[in-house]
Amino acid sequence: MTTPAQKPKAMIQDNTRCIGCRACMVACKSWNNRPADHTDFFAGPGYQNPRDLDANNYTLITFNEIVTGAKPDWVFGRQLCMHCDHPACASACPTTALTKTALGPVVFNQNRCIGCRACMQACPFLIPKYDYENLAPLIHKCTFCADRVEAGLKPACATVCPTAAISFGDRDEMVAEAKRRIASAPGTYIPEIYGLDEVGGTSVLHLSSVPFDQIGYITGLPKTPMPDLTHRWLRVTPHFFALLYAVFAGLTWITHRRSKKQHEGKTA
Amino acid sequence: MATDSPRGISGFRIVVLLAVLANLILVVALITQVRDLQRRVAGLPADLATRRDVAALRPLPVRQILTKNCVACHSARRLAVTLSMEPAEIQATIERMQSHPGANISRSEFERIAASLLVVRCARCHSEETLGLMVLKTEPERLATIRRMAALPGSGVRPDQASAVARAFEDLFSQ
Amino acid sequence: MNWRIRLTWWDLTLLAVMAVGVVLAVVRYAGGIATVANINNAYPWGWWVGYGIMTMIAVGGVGFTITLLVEVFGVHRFHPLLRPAVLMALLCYSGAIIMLMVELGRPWMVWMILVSWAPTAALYEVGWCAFLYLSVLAFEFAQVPLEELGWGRVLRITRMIYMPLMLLGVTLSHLHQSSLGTLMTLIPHKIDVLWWSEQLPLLYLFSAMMAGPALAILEYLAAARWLGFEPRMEMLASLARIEAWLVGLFLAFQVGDLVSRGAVGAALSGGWLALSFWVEIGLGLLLPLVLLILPEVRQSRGGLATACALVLFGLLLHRLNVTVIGLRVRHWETYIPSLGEIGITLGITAGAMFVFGVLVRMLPIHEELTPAPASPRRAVAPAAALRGARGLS
Repeated sequence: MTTPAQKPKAMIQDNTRCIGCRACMVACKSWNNRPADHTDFFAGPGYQNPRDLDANNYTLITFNEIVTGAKPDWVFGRQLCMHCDHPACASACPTTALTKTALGPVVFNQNRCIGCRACMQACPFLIPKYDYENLAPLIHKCTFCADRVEAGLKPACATVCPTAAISFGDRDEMVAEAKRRIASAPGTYIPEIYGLDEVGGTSVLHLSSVPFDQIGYITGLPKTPMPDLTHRWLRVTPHFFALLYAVFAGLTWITHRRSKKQHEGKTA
Repeated sequence: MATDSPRGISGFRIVVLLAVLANLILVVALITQVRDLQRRVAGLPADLATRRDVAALRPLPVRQILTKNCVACHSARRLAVTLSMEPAEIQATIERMQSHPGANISRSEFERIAASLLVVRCARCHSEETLGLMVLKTEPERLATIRRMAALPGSGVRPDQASAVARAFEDLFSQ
Repeated sequence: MNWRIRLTWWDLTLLAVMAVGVVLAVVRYAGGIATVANINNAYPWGWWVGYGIMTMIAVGGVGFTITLLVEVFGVHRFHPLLRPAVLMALLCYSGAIIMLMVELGRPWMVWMILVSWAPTAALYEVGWCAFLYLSVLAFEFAQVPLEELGWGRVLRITRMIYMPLMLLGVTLSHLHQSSLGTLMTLIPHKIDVLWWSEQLPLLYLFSAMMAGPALAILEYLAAARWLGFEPRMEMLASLARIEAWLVGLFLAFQVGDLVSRGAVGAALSGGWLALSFWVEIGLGLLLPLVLLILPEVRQSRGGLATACALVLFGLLLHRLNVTVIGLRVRHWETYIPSLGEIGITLGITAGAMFVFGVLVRMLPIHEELTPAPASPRRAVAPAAALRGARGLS
């Protein structure tokens, strides 16, 4: 499938180049065969439409009116699956329906899904969405166009972006490129790459001219992988089991011997 | 086989016990909050910012404006003649300066130069730093302060000029 | 076996509630989850998970708690509570499984858990343990009808493997009760600081242990009144004293955990979440603790019933707080359980209560009601397991 030469991929989302044209949203829906839907305009901030990610919209441009200096301006952000290196969704899934592939994308296998929605609870970026109206509902999220990436192409969004706000390539190259952009234009970028260290590292690196919490990003996330939190409890399960079983067996033996002695004493 | 105790359930005992335990929990909560506060206060830096530190963040640009626009030709002492002028006279003087050859006074600067010259008359008594503290006041507070100063003997400011001086401060602080 | 049971008005009410639940379930399957439930993308888990799975499984802890007390710690005076506890646990877990069939988006795929290997997923462990434990419970309870039917040979075989299976059941319970809490430790950024804790697995395990005796006492009192026997208040008072310790220790644990996490400020701030927290602590732990401490309450039926009901309410509220109420969402995202969701869970609860009511009248579940042996064939010597009313108690 993947040639040894293909290294893990990553994407740069450069919000300073984004003009809010939403071509990425359209291309994404197109490639993933998502239907058009009725939305409420102005339900969210400014012209952001739709307001949230949902089962039919795997990526979203956030419209944020930020006052820099004396005048307000539009600063755009983008929401999409971050394809974490240590995905909380994959660790929470009881049937391994979500898996992190070698090339980077976290892919969803609908043939394994039971619809428990643990992934929706687990994701720190609030990405997986559900189509509750469906009789056979599925989890919906950005696929990183895993099929295109497998074939050596770029994801649909990266292909259509008219301002090259979306770059795609090998992860180490993308990280270097992101750092280079910040270093070469410090007045344009804030010195932070969102997604580089969040929750142990992700495959989508965001750059911005304003702090990320002002443009609709979830901030304050730990730098350590989320699955570590459950792993530290779950990995002692077999030991816990063996210890408890032994303790209870021992106790039962003791109490039964005592009551048998009592019973013999009574009937003697 | 006793079913209900003949004594009955004392509501009083329940309430008292409830109050005691609830208070115990609240005391624990309070103690943790107080200790947290103590820790935070202890962690504050020994030198807190003074009012002058804050005011220094937005200093009066009087010196820069006058130096840039006036002192190139005049000595600073020549500016002292404006101290006794009316605000309208100051404006006229600056406009006359504009007509002189070699004077690069842009129109937008007129207001700020006039404001600077009005503010400078406060330097008769006060230092630059003290005048800078005016940035911490609101407009009405500034007006009241200037009126109070004008009422003092030998201030160099008449009470009817007070609002012009207040407006001058306002112009200089709002860039 | 007593096949002649008269259905009372209560049975008919339960059947009616069950019928409503069934109708709603049919609507759910025919039209999709959205037709009956309000759960949405911001709240993927709502009332169904908070009550129907988290609380029902916790309350099903009555099985392992009483089994621990009677069989492992050998406190034989609580023996009359053992069979009802096992039956209640069996019904609670069955109810939780039925709830799962409704709650899951693709319930026909649920067997996929059994053929997967996902040791990093708390739900995987919960699924496997609950599945195994349900089998153990069914096995434990099967002793009763087997005894009644007089199948001596089968009974002898099952009694040989009773002990290891009972131990397995008790151990499995500890694992999955705590894993329900492990599940929620994954989302510290989403659960309000009042409830998220690194100790959630232990908190969940202890709250399940705390709920066990409470449900056992409540059921015993209800059965005494409904089936018409005199309850052994000394036994209940003794269990209530243990329960008082459990409630007290859990209260100390939860408050201590809150303090050690530095979340006291959040508890003292205003707002609905702080209110929910204090209701959970006050009505669900503090008040029942106070009641259970007083000996006159422990001797009184009404007092005990109130205290135990409050403990169960506190447990429900705690699970709801962690899973639903305490979830941090964006300000436009809301969730209120729909009537359909409540109707289905009520239907399942009514179903469990109905089956319980029928079985306690059919089989010798309550020792106080055990009649004289009906057939001479029932002379199989009671083994260490499930000693009936005769013999040691």
